[in-house]
Amino acid sequence: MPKTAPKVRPSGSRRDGTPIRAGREHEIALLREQLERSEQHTALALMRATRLAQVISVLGNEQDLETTAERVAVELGELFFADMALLIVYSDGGLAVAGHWGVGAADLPSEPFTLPAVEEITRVRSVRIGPVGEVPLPDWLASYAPRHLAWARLLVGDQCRGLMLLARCGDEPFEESEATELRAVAYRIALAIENGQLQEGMRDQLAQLHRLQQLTAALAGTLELDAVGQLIAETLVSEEVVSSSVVLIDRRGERIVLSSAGMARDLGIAADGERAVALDERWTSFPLEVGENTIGVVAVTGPPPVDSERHQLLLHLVSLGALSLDKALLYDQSREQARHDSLTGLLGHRVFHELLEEQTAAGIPFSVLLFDIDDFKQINDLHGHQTGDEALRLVSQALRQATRSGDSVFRIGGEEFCALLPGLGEQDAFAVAEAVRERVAAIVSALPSPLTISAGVASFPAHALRRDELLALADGALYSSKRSGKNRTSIAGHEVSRQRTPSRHESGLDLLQSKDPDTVSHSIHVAILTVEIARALALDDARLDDLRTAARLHDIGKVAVPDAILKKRGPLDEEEFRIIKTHSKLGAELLEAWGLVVPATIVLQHHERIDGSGYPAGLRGNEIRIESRIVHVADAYIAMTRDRPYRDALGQDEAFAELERHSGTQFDPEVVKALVALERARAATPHEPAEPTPIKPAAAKPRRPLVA
Amino acid sequence: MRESTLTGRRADSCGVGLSRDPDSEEAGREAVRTALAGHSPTADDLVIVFTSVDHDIEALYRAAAAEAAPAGVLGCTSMGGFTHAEQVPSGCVAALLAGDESSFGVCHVERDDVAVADCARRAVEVARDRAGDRYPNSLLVLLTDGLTPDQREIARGAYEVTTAIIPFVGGAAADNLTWDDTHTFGDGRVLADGILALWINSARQMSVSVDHGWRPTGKPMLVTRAEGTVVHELDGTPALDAYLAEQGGGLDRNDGDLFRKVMGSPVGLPNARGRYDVRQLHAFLPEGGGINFNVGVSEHSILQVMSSDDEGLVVGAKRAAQEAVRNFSGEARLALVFSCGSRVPLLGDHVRDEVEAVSSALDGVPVCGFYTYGEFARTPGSTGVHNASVAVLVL
Repeated sequence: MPKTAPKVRPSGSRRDGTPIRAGREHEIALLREQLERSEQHTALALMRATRLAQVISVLGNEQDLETTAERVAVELGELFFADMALLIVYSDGGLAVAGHWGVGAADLPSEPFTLPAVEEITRVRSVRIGPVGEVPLPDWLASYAPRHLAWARLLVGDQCRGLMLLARCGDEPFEESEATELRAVAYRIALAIENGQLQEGMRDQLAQLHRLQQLTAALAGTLELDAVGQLIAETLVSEEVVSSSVVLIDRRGERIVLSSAGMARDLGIAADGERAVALDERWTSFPLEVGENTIGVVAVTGPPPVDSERHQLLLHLVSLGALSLDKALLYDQSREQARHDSLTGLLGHRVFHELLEEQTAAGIPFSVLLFDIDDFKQINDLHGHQTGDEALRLVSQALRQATRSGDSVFRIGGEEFCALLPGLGEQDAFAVAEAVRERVAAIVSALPSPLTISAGVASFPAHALRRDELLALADGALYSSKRSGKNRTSIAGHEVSRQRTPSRHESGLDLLQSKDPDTVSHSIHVAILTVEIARALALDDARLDDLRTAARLHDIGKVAVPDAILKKRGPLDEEEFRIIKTHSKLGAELLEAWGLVVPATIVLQHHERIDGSGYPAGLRGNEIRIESRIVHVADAYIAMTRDRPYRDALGQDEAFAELERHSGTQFDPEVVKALVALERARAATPHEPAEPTPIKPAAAKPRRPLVA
Repeated sequence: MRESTLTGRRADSCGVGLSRDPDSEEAGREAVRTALAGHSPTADDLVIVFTSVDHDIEALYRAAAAEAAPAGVLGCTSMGGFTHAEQVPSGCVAALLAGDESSFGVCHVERDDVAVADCARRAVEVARDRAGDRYPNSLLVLLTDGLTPDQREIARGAYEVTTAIIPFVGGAAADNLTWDDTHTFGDGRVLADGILALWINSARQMSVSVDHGWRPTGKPMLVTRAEGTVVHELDGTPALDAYLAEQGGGLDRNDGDLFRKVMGSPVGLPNARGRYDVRQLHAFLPEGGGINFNVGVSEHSILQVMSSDDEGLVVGAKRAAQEAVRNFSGEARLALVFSCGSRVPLLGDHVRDEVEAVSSALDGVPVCGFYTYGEFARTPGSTGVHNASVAVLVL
């Protein structure tokens, strides 16, 4: 055996030959590594021991659910070493992200969504971890390219409140021990969501109760019908009880749209204040009942399911609305009555001043007529107050009949009356005043003693620009009429009253007045409208006087027509119609005899038609004088829009339709257009409706100052 | 460990400069001029400036902006700056970010303490939009004032925009430990309560890392009561008392210099990576003895007193740089380093060792950095807010 020298360990070295110094350094390095690993394990252990508590701590903060979800998402991301954290909860119609960390808001679904694959895999085991591919990833997160996922079902008992997702972009898989922790975390989060939703539900209910209290208080303090309707309609939509709502009330036999909210206008609901059209199947109606009376309905779209809380709220709001609307209707009715004179039904003193103020402020020409019954005190003294009241009622009736639908008539004192005539100058206003005066003379003949009225006319802006000055001038004109012998009309600025001049042709008109007062009144309105149309068609001013005269006397030939035909109710037979047709020729002859040559021609042709089918000569188109064509249209329109012995008045729109239907055959199209434009413009100008409210007998009121 | 793939500096595209001139305007001009190093700036370029607080910040910013025009200028105050070559405790340092392969978007807003996260989110969104979408790689640099009550809220707001995809890095402006005079500047104004977002889009990859070099030495203490950034109780006792007992330095809570003296004993919160997020004490509540941090602390988390030494801190900084290098591939042009201001007094004369360690790990890439009142670096599992640490951006 060969002798081998014993191995000698070099001094300062270890058995393995490494130098002692190097070995120590190596050991120190190893120890350092061990220490670091130990520190890491300790840190991790400490972290894991406390992170559930940290999550619970965040969940316990008194914050709303949304803020809590956001905070928890941040905390989860940090505590579980994740790059993304999502809390997804069930909401109406699917899932919604309640809290997110590491995912841009723009990348989240904007609409409720579903995650069937995730729900499927977490149904058996509530927490599933694994790499993307083994575990499903929603498409909308694909751009973030996460590598490892942890899905957890948010369960309380068997109730699933949503899902939780943690995602890591690095190559750091989730461990099973973390899955166990996540299960506990998910339970706590689910519990917090459940509590939060309950609390939010309670808060919502309390807030809703508070709003309902406010609504009730608002309704109790609101008497305006429109405001009450609007509150009800808007509350139904703002409280998300229904999609759209409309409040309809019954007034004067019609169902009127009071107010609406939501998409009602897009669903064919008429504008506020208009008559309601029939509601289609999209609408569900709830009656507005007070006691045994139904005062209207609330119609809604998207009503809540029956027996739901929202349905109960809907019924409550409808019931509350019915009471409030009933109260507002009563108030509205009282206020309307207060605006009218209870004896005559005409508008009262206060409304007169309001409207006069409005008219003056609007700057549109108008005239004011003041009337006073002559010697009214004697009527009362001689025949008693009952007769006096009857006289007042008859005068008010004459006023209504002799004025246009757009005019406003008032009783402003004991025996004082007033009319506001929009658009009329002093001459036309004078004519209206005279018509009233003549009508009064005719209709009060049944009274024990003759009754007459005096009138004063003032026009804005011709006589005055200020309300008070205008009134003073009208009053002065009225006084002038009284001083000049009563039973006459004076125009402001004309110190000598313009009592009707007993000219030959006006004597003829008197004859017609005594025979058929309606025709005279009709003629005055035709004259006013005729002149307006002529001006609109830019007819020479020099021709207007003849036109006005012709229009006022266009039916003068009817003095020769028997009363039986003139006042006949129902259609005329052939012979009667033949006799009626003679009036234009007869009228022309009368005017010609009075020296009114041009007006005579106009009257002769005023029943000729554009297509040649008129009478007496069957003229066509421009063969007919323009003045006659104007009188023809104005005559027809006034006749249509006022009651006649043989039929009721048509509405304005119906009358327009009738004119337009015969435009180009019977009527001159240009004239029809001008009339429609004039009347539409007039309708668009605000005015007080002349329709009276029901009246109750009451004693005549003392005279009030004219100037408020 | 992967070998560094850094291949060195490209002086024509990113340069670093500095100035120690006591005149503020001249300091701004000189720092920018030396950073440009002869490069003719364009509107696409950007210069970042970090300055000590002994300058007139408005004047310095105006002069720097004029010198850099048409390039933009932004930056903040610091506890001192540094480059790979020099420490600049008083003066300013600057770095050129060339726009040849990058685009920049800047937004500088005033912080609203009621909605800090929202402010940060809005600033970052605007900066992102201003940067355009020319290049595929994105990164956010955040600079804020140093007195922000909760830097976690700023990070949370920023993360809503960057999401898990875009990294962010940065630091809070500092002063000379007086905690009353920090500023950010950029986007045409100087703010004492600003959030400054710089969004970088680049044709090249960028990497971010963070480390600290602190180790737990105290026993784990449970946060039994906390509210926002204030820890009221540790293990059921007033937090400051519990901390001082564990710190073991025999310090008096009434010591006027307490917070400088405890810089060497920050606390650490164990995180999900088995490491510690370090938090420096910021202040304490005289009533009740709660400790205030500049980052929110969760109730039921664990705190441990941490300690380190010169070597540990330097190794921590080096590891941050090494990590940034590992995550980077391609040709590095510049490294921006955000190191906690508390490390300056702790390292004392060895503060230069930290920069050298970082520079050696970066293999000659030019370095520009400053000492902060808090560092941002969003890495997986972290909200991105750090204290007493070193954050490194390689680009």
